[in-house]
Amino acid sequence: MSDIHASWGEAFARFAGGLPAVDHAARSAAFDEFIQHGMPDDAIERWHYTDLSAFPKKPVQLATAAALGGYARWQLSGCDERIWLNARNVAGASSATASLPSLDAHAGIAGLHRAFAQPGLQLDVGPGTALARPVHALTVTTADADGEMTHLAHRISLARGAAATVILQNVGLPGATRFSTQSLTVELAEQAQLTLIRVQDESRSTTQWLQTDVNVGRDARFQLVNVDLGGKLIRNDWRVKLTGPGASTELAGLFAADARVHLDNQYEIDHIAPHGTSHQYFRGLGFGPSKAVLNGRVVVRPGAQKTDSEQRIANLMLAKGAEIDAKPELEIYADDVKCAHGASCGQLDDTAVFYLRTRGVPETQARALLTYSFINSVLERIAHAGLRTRIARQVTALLGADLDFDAIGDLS
Amino acid sequence: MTKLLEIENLHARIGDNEILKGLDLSVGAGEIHAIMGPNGAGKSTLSKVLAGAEDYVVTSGTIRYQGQDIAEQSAEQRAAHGIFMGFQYPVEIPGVSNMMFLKAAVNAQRKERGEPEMAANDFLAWVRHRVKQMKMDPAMLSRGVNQGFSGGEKKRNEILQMLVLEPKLMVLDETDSGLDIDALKIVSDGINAMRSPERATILVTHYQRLLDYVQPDFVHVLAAGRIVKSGGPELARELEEKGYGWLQAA
Amino acid sequence: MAANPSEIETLVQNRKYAAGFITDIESDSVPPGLSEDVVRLISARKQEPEWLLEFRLKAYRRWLTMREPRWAHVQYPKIDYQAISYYSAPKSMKDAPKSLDDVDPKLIETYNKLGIPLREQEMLAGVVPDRPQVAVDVVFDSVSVGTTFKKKLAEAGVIFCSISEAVREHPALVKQYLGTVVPFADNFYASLNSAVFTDGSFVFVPRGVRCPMELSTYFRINERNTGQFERTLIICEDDAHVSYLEGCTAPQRDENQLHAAVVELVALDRAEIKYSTVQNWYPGDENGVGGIYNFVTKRGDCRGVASKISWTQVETGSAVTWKYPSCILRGDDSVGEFYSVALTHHRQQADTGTKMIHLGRNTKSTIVSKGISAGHGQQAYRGLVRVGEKAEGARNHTQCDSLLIGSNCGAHTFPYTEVRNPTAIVEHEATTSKIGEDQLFYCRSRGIGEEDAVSMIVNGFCKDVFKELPMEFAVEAQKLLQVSLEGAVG
Repeated sequence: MSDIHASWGEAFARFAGGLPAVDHAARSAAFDEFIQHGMPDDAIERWHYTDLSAFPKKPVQLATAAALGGYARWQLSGCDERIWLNARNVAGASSATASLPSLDAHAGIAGLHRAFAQPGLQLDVGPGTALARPVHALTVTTADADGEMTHLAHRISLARGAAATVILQNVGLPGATRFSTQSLTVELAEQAQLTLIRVQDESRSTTQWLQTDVNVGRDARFQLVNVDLGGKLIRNDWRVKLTGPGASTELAGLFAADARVHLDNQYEIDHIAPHGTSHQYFRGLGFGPSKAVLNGRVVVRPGAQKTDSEQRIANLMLAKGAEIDAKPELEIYADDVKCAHGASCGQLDDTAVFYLRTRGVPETQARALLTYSFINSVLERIAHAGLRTRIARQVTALLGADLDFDAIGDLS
Repeated sequence: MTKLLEIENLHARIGDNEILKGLDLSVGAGEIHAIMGPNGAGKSTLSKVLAGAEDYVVTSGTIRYQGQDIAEQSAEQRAAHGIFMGFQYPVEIPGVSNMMFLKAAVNAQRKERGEPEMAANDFLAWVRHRVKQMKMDPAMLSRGVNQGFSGGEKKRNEILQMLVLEPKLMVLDETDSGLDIDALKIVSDGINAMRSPERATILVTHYQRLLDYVQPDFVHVLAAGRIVKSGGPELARELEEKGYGWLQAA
Repeated sequence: MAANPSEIETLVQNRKYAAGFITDIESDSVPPGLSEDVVRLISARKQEPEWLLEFRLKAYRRWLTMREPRWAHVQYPKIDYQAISYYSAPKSMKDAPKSLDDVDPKLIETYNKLGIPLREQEMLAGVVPDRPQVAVDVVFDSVSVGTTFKKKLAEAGVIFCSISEAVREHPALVKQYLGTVVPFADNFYASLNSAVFTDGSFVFVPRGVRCPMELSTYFRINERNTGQFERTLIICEDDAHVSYLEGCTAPQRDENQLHAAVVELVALDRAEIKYSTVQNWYPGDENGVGGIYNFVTKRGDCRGVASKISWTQVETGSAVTWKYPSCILRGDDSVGEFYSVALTHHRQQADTGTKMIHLGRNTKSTIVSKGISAGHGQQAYRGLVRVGEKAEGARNHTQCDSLLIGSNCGAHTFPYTEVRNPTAIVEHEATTSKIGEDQLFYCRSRGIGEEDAVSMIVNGFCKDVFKELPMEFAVEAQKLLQVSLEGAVG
């Protein structure tokens, strides 16, 4: 057994040692699954562009609790705050134990996650209840030594007719290399409505895998806005199953890739029941040496008639050295459906840049404004103005511009 | 006395295609000039070259604005020094509100001129005043620039921007096309409101219609890249009656 | 009021495969099985030079280490490569015909049945009226049985012959280009082909020559348990131009037959190659019994500046298709095009598309793919557009549409776009729709029969591709589509 395998084994033994027997057995089984299959590599079509097989390069250990007072800067006004620091809940209610997430995923890495799963957000909303304030689940990591890891498992369950907005924000402080897996399982009963906003702004030394499994019941609706701003190697798997008739989903995504990040988003919508609708809007920005992958897959199962599905991917190449790979897939086994997708990759429109410059706006700022315009169709889906502005500012700052975003809100 | 704008023997091309072939034009402060001519004569090229479009290459000749050769000035520098171009086809910028756009433009221009930024309240009041003047719905300020605007609304927005930015030399490229009669009146009022002894306007147009509302001091005919005839307002009416054929034949 | 949906289902019935007859002809086949000895035997029988045998053996040895690709969206039982005969020639060919007059009359008859006149005088005499002159090379199982109009082409400096003949007559040219576009180790099927290819066509158009007529090859698999592994090599030197058509048929048999061809195109400076295919291999019956496995590697190399390679394909046959005619846009300002109509009916499966690899500056590519699925047909478009770091100003536009007929078929789209240059513009659009009951009802209420209505709608759907085909092929393609869809709708 290699050193790496040995260090995984040791890490698991340390972690699982004190657990109750039942939990221990389930986690051991999951761990064995991981050891058996290993990390995914590009022989798996879904991992065509991302290979984790060489990971990790150093021995592994769970991140230890850290003392940190400075997370106020990420807090959001008007939200119900829940905060995890190095995977330990430090603010807001959360259950102390994690039920093992049942992930519909690639055996190896899912096994790893299940073996180490730590309790994250556990949100249950009762029938007909609409949460008045968004839940802000903030995870912050620090790392003093290379190879520290966290494995948060989140669960959201909305009963019939319930409604909620959840903002999941993953941030990391600069520091040593770290590895994290994260899962989010979402159950939406009949007519439930969930808006999930996820902002990933991990440290430049973070490798992260996230899997989100969503079941959307009859006439229920799942709305996602995913924003990727940071990280070193980021892989997000989003799987949305429209299991009830009339279920609908809207997935929107935005990424800003720079600083040698490798970013791979895999979105999959599975139309199982008839009369489902799915809409996807993705905007990507390639800023510098980086590789971004966007795979959007729509499956329409036999019998999922009257499905209405649309997918739009648009990417902007803003600098040399950027690579953007897009793969919008359709897999259709029913005939009475309306499905379309489009993907484009290009640059800012020179005429538009010129237009702005004739109004006296310098080129840098003009490009930033147009880039903002380009991503706005995703940003505008973020209902929290403060968060929206913060993201816009962070993205346009990459173009060397400081735009006055306050001017947006003052009349609306 | 120095003219506001002086163009001498201007040659310009796009790609391998020479469009302006020795154009001369002199515009004094306080004047309104109309430039008319058949399609493809180089009218739009002249506007773009004045505004500083980089895909057009000036191969010879000079453009002096306020006595200075502006060949080396970027589009935004020209804007800051008071050159405004009204686009024939204004660009849509979804998601960037008109308010944000105007603020970015005004403050960038002031910065270039070494002036302080306008206070937010003063700016808002100023813009609202101009919106009212153009008989536009103030709600448009929070909509994206030209986003979903009709052709007429876009042209009106061009004039609004002009009123807010208060340029010295206004080059309006076919601002009248696509306007119904009410909109044409509002746009004309906007142009007339900017008329002053310090400012000048160049109206680039295909039709005489706009000139019924905005009285030009001079009318020029641009054909095959040069000014081939100049005259007073009566020339426009002559062109309306006879077309351009008689000029080219001559 | 729309037509009853079940009417569409009931029209999903038998189709007629007109080319399904078997020619009763004595063949000289090697026994089934593959080994180095078989490779040597093929090479020896074709009296090949040593370097070609080496090429074959290298390919064979590499093939032994390779795995069959499994990523395609198709399913079929494991192929037993030892059960296939790798060489079959009509016996009468053994003492190679001196001219077309020596060709077995049965073969001539076969091709006449298929509508391919092999005798120049017949063509000249207008036996088949309204057909422009087309030079034809015909490949029957493993060998070429004759090429027409050779003399006229030779006068123009164009070489058009079977690849076996080219190996004998023009070995330097073959050696210079063979395997340079599709290397012997390229993929599982290409390696297999490189080891055992038997015949195919060779075209060489010298500098500055516009080929005076359309060139065409007709492939036919006749013998049972035979694989067909033809190899085509087309070279256009600077400023040369050629249009090449390829047609294929096979008899109706219950077992599956393997067809693993390799086509290599080389276009030098400002050269232009137009390659059109009407593929009508036996598709199997409505229950999925029999039919050709069509696993083909086609690739064009736009090696020269401002060169152009255009692929047009109409794919109505084969039980399983795995095929991605590609363009490597190496020369600056080079252009690649791919126009495809693919139809899957009954239990047919197709995973087809293209690859456009932009390497040179200002390279442009266009992809138009029209997929039609009926019955239990499963069809996938799989296309790669890659823009390399140095491909300044590269442009691609892809339009990819699927039409579904009946509720048991599938239509899938897997486009890969990989962009590594910030000045590139790449656009992909795809739609999936079905022939609407309301469209059919509308046509019927105007007195148009349902089958005609479907045919009309399908032809309209495919128009953008048909207009890329040479005229007489376009007509043939439309007819073929109509026949293939017979009973599919209505």
